[in-house]
Amino acid sequence: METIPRRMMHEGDIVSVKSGKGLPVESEVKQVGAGFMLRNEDIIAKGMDAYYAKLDELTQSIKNQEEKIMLKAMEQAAERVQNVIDAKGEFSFSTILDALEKMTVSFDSNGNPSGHNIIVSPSVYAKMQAKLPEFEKNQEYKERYKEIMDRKRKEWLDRENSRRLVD
Amino acid sequence: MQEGFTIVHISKHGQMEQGKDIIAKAPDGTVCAYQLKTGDINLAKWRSMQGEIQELVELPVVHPAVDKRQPVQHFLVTNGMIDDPVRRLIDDKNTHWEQLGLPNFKVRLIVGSQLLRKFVDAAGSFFPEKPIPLKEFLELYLTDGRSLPDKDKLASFLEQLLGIGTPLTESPRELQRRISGAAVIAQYLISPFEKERNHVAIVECWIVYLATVLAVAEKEAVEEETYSRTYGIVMQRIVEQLEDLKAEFLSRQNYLEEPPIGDGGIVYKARLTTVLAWMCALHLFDKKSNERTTLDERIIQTIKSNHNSWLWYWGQSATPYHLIISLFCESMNEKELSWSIMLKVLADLSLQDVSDKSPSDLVSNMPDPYVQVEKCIGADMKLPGFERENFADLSYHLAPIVYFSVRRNKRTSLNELWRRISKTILCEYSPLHKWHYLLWQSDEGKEKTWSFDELPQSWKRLSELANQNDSTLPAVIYERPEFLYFFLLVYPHRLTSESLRLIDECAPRQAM
Repeated sequence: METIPRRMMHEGDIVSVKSGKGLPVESEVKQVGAGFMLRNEDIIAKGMDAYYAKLDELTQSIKNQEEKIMLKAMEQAAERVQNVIDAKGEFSFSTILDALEKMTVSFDSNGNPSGHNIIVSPSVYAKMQAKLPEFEKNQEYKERYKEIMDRKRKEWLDRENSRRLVD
Repeated sequence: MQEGFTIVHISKHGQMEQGKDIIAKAPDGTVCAYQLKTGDINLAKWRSMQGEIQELVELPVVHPAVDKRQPVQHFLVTNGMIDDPVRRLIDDKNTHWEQLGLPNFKVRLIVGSQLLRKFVDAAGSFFPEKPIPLKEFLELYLTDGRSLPDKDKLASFLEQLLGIGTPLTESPRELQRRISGAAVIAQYLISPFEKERNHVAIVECWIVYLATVLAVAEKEAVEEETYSRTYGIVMQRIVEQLEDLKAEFLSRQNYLEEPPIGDGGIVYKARLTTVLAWMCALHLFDKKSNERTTLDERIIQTIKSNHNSWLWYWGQSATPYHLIISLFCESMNEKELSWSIMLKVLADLSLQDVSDKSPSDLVSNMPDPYVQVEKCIGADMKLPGFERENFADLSYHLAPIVYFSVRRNKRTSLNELWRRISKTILCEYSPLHKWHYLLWQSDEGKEKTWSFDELPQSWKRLSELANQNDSTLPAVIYERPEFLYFFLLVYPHRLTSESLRLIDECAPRQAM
C-alpha cells in the first residue's frame, strides 16, 4: 500500500475518476480516524510514554481502515468492468495467469513489466511461497506466462506508438 | 453613497485634480464636485487655499462620464469649523459670481457638525451588524506589510463579514450597505501594505474582496446596481495601484528589495514574473475596457529583452502569470514570443522524462496550483518546513493549456509532446454551486480526474473540446470576463478549461 501515491485533495467532497471510454466513477470522501483511552494512573506513572505507547496502535488502526477502503474500491472497480476471477478460496498459478490475461500491462524500456503488484492475504501469501518451486518447474505455466507477456508487450508497444495526433 | 450618490472619480492619493478631490452624481443626476480639507479654516488658511477654490468652481469637470455643459454644484468640505470672516468672504465670492451672471458658480459648505450627523446616519451602513471576528481581524491587520497577504485567511474573514454562509434575509439596500461596510473594513486590513507601498499585496487584497462580493451577488442573484458602485470604486483603486506599480517598475534600474540578503536568484525571478504579469494584466484589462487604450511599448521591450532570464515557472500557481504575459505579447502582435512562453509551460506541465530512470518512467514535479509561490521558493531552497509533497503526477493546468494551444493550431508542437501529455493525469475542480468558483476554498463539489486517453487522439475531436462552451462559470464572470485577468493571478487554482476559453474569447489579439 505504501507504493500507492498519495496526494492532497484541496476542495470538494466527491472524487470523480474517468478512465477509458467508460462513465466517470464517483466516490464520496470518507473519514478515517481512531481514538484511544488512557487511565490517569498510566499518565501519572509514565508521562508522555503513556501516549507514545498508544501511537503504534493508533497508526495501525488508521492504516487498516485505509486499506479496507482501498481494497473495497479496487473490488468495486473490477466488478464494474466484469474483470473478476473467482478463485473459490483456492490459490493456483493458473488463477494468477488468468488474472494477468485481463490486465493492462506496462513495460519499461528494457522490456520488463512495471508497476504491478499482487495484494494477497497472509494465508494466501504463505500458500504462494510454498507453491513457488512447483511453478518454477512447471513448463506449461512458464510457456503460458511467456506467451501472455509477449502479447501484452506487443499491446503496450501498439499503445505507445499510438500516442499521437491524427486527423 | 449612503444618500444614493454615485462616485464618478476620486483623485489619486489625495492629489487634487482641477481643484476637485471627488466628483459624484446625486440621485437626481446633478454633478457634484468636492474639495476636502481637514481642520478649522481661518482667514490665513483661506488665503492659502483661495486658488484651489477658484479652480474648484471655475474649471469645468473633465471626465468621460460627465457632460461638460451640465451645471455642477461645488462643495468645500472640512471636518473642522469655518470661521465667520471666512464664511462672509465665501458669501461675497458667491454674490460676485452671481452678479457676473454665473449662478452655477457657487461654493457650498459642509462642515464638521454636518459630517458627524451624516456619519451617525451612515453608521449602520458602514459597520457590520454582527461583531467582527476580532482575532482574525487582528491577525490580518498586524501582518507584515512587506509580505503577501494570507489570502485564505482574508477570504474566510470577508466571507464571514459578508455573511456568505447564511441565507439572505435583508433588502438589496441593506445588502448594499453590508458590501460598503466590508469595503471599509477591508481598507483597514490593507493599510499595512499601503504603508510599505506593496502594490501587488494591495491589489491581491482588493481582488479577494471583489471576488467575495461577486460570490454574494451570484449566490443571491441580486441586481447589479446593488454592488456595481462599490465594484467600480474598488476596481478604480486596483487600476491606480497597478499604474503606480508600472511607474515604479519603469523608473528602477534593478528590482532588489531591502535588505538584499536573501534576495536574488529565484526570489528575484519570482518577483519579476509576478510584477510583469500584473502589468500585462493591467494592459489587457485596459484594452478590454477601452479599445483605444494607448500601448506602452516599454513593457513589451522589457519582456523581449529579459524573458529568458527573468521568468520562472515555480509550479502550477505560476501558470496564470505566464499565461497573462503570453496573452499580452500576443496582443502586441509578438506571436512567436507569446507561444515560446506557453510552450515552455506546456512542456513543464506534461510528465517529464527522468534521465536516471528508464525513458518510459515519467514523473511530474510541478507543485499543484494550491501551493503558493512562497512555499515553492522554500521547497526549492530546501528550507526547513517547506518539504516538497508528493504531487502524484497530476496536472490541474495541462488540459486548459492544451486547449489554448489547439485554439492556436499548434498541432506540431502538441504532437511532439503528446506521448507525455497523454500519460499525464488531468485534474479539475468542479464546484457544486457556481458561486463557489469565486471562493478561495469550496467544500461542495467534485474533483475530476481523467486523461487524454483516446489513442491515437483525433485532432478534430480535440478542436471541438477546445472550443466547447461549458457554461460552468458564474454568470457574474460571463458578464465581466475582464475580471479574470486579475482574478486568476490571485486565485491560480481557478484556472480551468472554461475560464481560459472565456479569456481567449475576450482577449485583444493584436495591437491597434
